[in-house]
Amino acid sequence: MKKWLPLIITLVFVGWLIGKVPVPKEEGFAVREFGQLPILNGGRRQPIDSLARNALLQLRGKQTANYEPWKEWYQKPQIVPATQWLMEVMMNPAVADTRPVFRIDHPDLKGLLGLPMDRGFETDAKHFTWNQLQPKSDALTKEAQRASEVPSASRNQFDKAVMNLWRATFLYQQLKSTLQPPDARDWPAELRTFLENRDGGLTAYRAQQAKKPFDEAALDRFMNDAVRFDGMEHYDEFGKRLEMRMAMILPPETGNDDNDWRRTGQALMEVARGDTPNFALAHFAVMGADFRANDVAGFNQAVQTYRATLAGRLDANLKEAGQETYFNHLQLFYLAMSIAIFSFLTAIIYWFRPTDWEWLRRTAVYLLSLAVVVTTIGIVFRMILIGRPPVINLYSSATFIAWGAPVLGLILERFWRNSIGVVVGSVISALCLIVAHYLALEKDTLEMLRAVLDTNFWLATHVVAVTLGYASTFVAGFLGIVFVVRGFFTTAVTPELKRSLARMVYGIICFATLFSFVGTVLGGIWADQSWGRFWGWDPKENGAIIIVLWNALVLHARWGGLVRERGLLNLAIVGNIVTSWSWFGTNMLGIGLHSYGFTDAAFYTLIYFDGAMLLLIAIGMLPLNLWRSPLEGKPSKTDKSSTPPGGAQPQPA
Amino acid sequence: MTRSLWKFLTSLRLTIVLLVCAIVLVFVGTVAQADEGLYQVQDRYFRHWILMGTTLWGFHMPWFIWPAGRLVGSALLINLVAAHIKRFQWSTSKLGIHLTHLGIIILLLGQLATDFLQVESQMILNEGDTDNYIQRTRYPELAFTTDTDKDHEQVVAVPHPLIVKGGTITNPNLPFTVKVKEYASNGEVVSHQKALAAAVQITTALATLDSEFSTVDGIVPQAERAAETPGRVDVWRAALKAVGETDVQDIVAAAKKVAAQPDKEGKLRTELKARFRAGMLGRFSNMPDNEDPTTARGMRYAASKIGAGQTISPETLPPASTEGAGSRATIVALPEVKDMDTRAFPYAVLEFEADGKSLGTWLMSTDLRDQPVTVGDKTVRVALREQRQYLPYSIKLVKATHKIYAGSDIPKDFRSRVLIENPVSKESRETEISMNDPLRYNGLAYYQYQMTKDEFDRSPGLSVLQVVHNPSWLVPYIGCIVVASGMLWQFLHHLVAFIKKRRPV
Repeated sequence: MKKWLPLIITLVFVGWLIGKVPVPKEEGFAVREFGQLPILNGGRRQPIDSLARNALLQLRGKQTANYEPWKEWYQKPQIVPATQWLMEVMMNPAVADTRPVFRIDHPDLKGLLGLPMDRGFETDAKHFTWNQLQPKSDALTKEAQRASEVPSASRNQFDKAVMNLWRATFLYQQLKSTLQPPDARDWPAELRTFLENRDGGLTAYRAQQAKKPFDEAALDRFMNDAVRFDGMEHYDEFGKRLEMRMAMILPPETGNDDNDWRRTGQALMEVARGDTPNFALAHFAVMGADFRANDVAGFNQAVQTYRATLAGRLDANLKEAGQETYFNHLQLFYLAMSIAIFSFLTAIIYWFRPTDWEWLRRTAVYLLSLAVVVTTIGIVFRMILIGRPPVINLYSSATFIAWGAPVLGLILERFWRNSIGVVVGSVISALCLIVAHYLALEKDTLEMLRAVLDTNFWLATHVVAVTLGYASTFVAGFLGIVFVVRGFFTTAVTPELKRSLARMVYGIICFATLFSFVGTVLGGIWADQSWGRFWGWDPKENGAIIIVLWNALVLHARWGGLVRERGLLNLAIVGNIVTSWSWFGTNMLGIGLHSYGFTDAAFYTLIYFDGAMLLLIAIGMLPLNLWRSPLEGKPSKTDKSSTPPGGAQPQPA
Repeated sequence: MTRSLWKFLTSLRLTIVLLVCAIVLVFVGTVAQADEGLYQVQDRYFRHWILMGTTLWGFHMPWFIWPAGRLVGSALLINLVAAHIKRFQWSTSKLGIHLTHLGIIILLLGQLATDFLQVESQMILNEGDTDNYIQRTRYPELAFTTDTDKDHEQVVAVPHPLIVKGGTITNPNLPFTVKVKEYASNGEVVSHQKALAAAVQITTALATLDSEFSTVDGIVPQAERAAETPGRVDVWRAALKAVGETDVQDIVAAAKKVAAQPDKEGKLRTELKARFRAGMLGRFSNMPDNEDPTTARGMRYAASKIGAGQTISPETLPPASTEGAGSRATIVALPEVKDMDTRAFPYAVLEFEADGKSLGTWLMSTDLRDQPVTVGDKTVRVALREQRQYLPYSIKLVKATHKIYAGSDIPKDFRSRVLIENPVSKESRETEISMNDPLRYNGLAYYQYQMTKDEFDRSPGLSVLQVVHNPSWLVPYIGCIVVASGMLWQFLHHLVAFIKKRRPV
C-alpha cells in the first residue's frame, strides 16, 4: 500500500488539475464568447477577457468581481467573471455604477470620500461602488492633483492610495466610454439617427464655417452628437499623459493591420468628419441594446453574428484571443503555487517522522515534480502567446525562478534523498509565484516590449542566464536557512547532514557563479551592441555584478579555508540578501535603464525579507553549544582540511 | 621582505579582501547614483583610485574613504596574475580554473583600456541633412570662422582645455588676440527684453495680490473663498498659526476669531500677504522651460531679483559684455550639470584686441548663434560650440523612423536610414542604424540614440547618433568566451566525476 500511496496522492492532484481544464458550460448570456472577442489594447492583440481581468486587478486586486463582498464565503456571495462585469460597465453603466468594485483600505481616504468606516448593512467597508465615490469625486481629483505634484520618492501612503484610486476611477470612466457613449439610452437608434443626420449636419456645418445660410436644427443635432463622441475621445487624450490609453475594439475595415484598429469614439469622430462607419459599430450597438434589454437569445445571436463577420480575415486574432482567454482561465501559476505548497507541507512532515515514512518523501517529490510540470506548461503557454523567450519583465522573471529553483531542488533530491531539495525548491517556487501574483496587479503581464528590449536573442540568453543565476543563488541561500533553522531549533542536523548541506551549497554556488557571470557579461555585450558601451554602472548591471562578486567571494573563501562548512552555509544566506537586492532593490532606486517602477509594498517586503535573513545569519553565528543539534565537539578530520584554490570539489561520500 | 610581499600578493586572503572592497564599492556606487547622478558616480567611484566621501539615502558621509574602481581593479589584476605565476600547474582538472582566471584578466584589462581609450561623441542630423563631423557635447570649443571664398571657409578651433586655462590666445590666422575673461560650464543667457517684460508682469501680479489683502473686505469672506481651494487653505492655516491661532483645521472659524481682534487681524493680513507673495514668486522663479525657454528664463530671473527686493529696469540689468548679443543680455551662472538628461550651456566672456587696442568684450555661449567680429575689412564669425571632429567621409540622414505599438505609447522601433559617402574609397551606400543594431564604420561605431520624430511621420525628424571610438571593443567578447568556457569546463568536469562516483541507488 505504502508503495502506491505517493502515486495515488499525486493522481488525486492530477485529477484536480484535470478538473480545472475544461471550461464550464454557461447559461444565459454568452459571457465567455464575448470575452473571447479580439481587441487591441496596450499595442497588443488580446481578448476582451484580458482587458476585463486587468481592469479588475487594478480596481480590486482580484480577477473576478464580488457583488456582495459583505457576505462571508459560506453565505455564497455573488461572484461574477471579469468579462460579465465589464459587459455591464460597457453596455449598462447605470447598473455597473451600483457594483462595489473599488477597493479602498486607507482610512483617511475613506474619510475624505465620506465612506463608511465599519462593516454595516450591505457594506464590508472595503469595497465601494462608483455611486458612493461619485459625490466626492472632485475632492478626490483635487487630492490626486496635489499628490501627483509630490515627488514620487516622498509620497506617503495616503498620497499613493489617492493616486491609485484616482487612476482606478479614471480607468472605470474609460471603460464606460469604450463600447458606446456612457450616457446612451438606446444606442442602436441613436447611432442610426446620427448616421441619418450626418450629411445634413455636415453640410450645415460647412455652410456655417463659410458664413453662408445654414440649417440650424440639423447643425444642432449634429454638434450634440459630435460633442458626445469627442467626450469619449477625451478620456484617451487625457490618458496619454498617464500612460493609460483606451482599448481599441473596432477591427480594421479591410486587411489585418494593427494600425487600423479604432476606438469607438475615434471611429465615431471619423464618421462625423464624413468617413463611412466601421462595420463593427452596428454589431456592438446591437449587443449593447440586447444586453440592456436582458434579451439573452438576441445577445448571444449578435455575438455569434459578429464572430462570423470576423472569421476569415481576422482568423488569426480570433485564434489568439481564444488561446489567451483559455490561458487566463487556467490560472496555471496559481495551480502550481497550490501544489508547491502541498509539496512543501508534505516534505516538512516527513522531517518530523521516522525514516520509514519514505513514501511521504516520495509524495513530496512527485508533487513538486507536478508543480514544475504545471509551471513549465504555464511558461511555455505564455511564450507561445507572446512569441518571446520566457523572461520579458519582472513578472516573468518571478515565474521563471519559480521554475528554476524547484528543478535544482529536485536534482539535489535525486542525490541526497532527505527531502531538503524538495523543501527548498517548493518554498522558493511558492514564494516567487506569490510575488508574481502581486506583480500582476500592476499591469498587463503580457505587455509589449519597448524598442531596446525588442530582441529575442538577448532576452533568450542574457535575461535567462541572469535569472537562472538568481534562482540558483536563492537555492543555495535557502539551503543555508534549512541548516540554521533545523540545526538551531531541532536535533535533526548531524555532522554528516551538515557536510552534505555544505556540499550541496558548494555545488549550487558553482552553478550560480557560472550562470550569473555569463548572464552579466552577456548583458554587457548587449549594452555594447545597443548603445556602445560594454559597462555603464547602471544599477541593474551593478546588482548583477554584485551577485557574481559575491559568489566568487564565497567560493574563494571556501577554497582558501577561511570558512568551513558552517561559514559557507551562513555566507549562502547572505546570498539571499544580495540576490533579492539585485532582483528588486535596484528597481527601487528609480534610476537607470532597467528600473521598472517602484512598488511600495515590495519595498517593505524586501526590508522584512532582508531583516529575516540577517536574523538567521545572527542565529547561525551563535556558539554551537546553544544549538539543539549535536554539532559540537571535535569536527571530523575531513572537516578541517583546507584545500588549495581550485582543489576543493564536492566529494561524494 | 620580498618573500613576504610575494606571499601577500599571491594570497587568497587578499583576493577575498579585494572582492569585499569591490562589492561594497559597487553597492555604494549604485545607491549614491540617486544623489550624485550617473556621470559623477562613474567618474568619482569607478574611474578614480580613491573614493573620498559619499552620500547614501540622503546622508552625507565625508568620512567614507574607500579604494575606488581603478585601485580595486588593478589590485585584483596583480593578485590574479601573481597567484597564477605561483600556482600554475598544467592538468586537465585545473584547465577550467586557469581559463576562467585568464578570461577575467582579459576582461579587467579590457575595461582598463576602455577607460583610457574610449571616446564618446554624437552626430546630430536632421532628416535630409549631411554632416561630416561628430561632436562631443560635454566639451565646447571656440570656433573662429572666416569665409575665404564662396564655397570655402577657414576654421580656427580652440579646444576646451585651453579655454579653461584662460589667458590670451593668439593665432596667425586671426586678425586679433583673444583674452578669456571668464568661463563656466553652465549658465543661462537672459535677454534684457524678456527680463523687463517679465518684471512688468510679476509686478502687476503682486500689486493685484497686495490690493486683495488691503481692501476693507473682511477677512472672513476671504477665508470662505480660500476654503474652496486646497492649495490656499494650507497657506491660510500656516498664516493663522503664525499669528498664534492653535485650532486652524477650519480656517473660516479661525478667521472669525481673528477678525474679532483688530490688531491680530492686521497681523494676519501681513502674514497672508507675505506668504502668498512668496508663493507667487516661488512659482515664477521655478517656471519650467516647457515651450518658450527664453520667456521662462526672463521670468525666473525677474522673479528671483524681485524676491530679493531689487528692482528691474534697463539701468539695473548688468550686460554680460560690451558688444554683441551679450550687450543685450545678462548671464546667470548655473550649477554644473551632473545627470545625463539635462543639457548644460557653457559660456565664456572674451575680449578681443587688435593692434594693442581693445575691441570690447563678447559673450559666447553654446546657446547663442555665432557672432561677427570685424577688424578692418576682415570679419570673423565667433562661436562657442560643441567640440567637433571632422571625418574623411560624410553621412546623410535619409530617413528617420519612429514606430509605436498601435493604440499605445510604447515605442516599438527607432531607426535611421543613412547614406555614407566616402570620397577616398569612392563608397556611396545606404545602411540602417537601429536599436541593438549599430553601424561600425572606419573605427567608429554609430548607435541609434535619441530621436525627435512624431510617430505619424508628419514632419522631418531629428536623429541623434551616439558615436563611440573604442579600439578595445572586442576585448570583452573574447574575455567572456574564455571565462565561460573555463567555467563550463570546470563545471562539467566536476559534474561528470560527481555523477560517476555517486550513482543514485
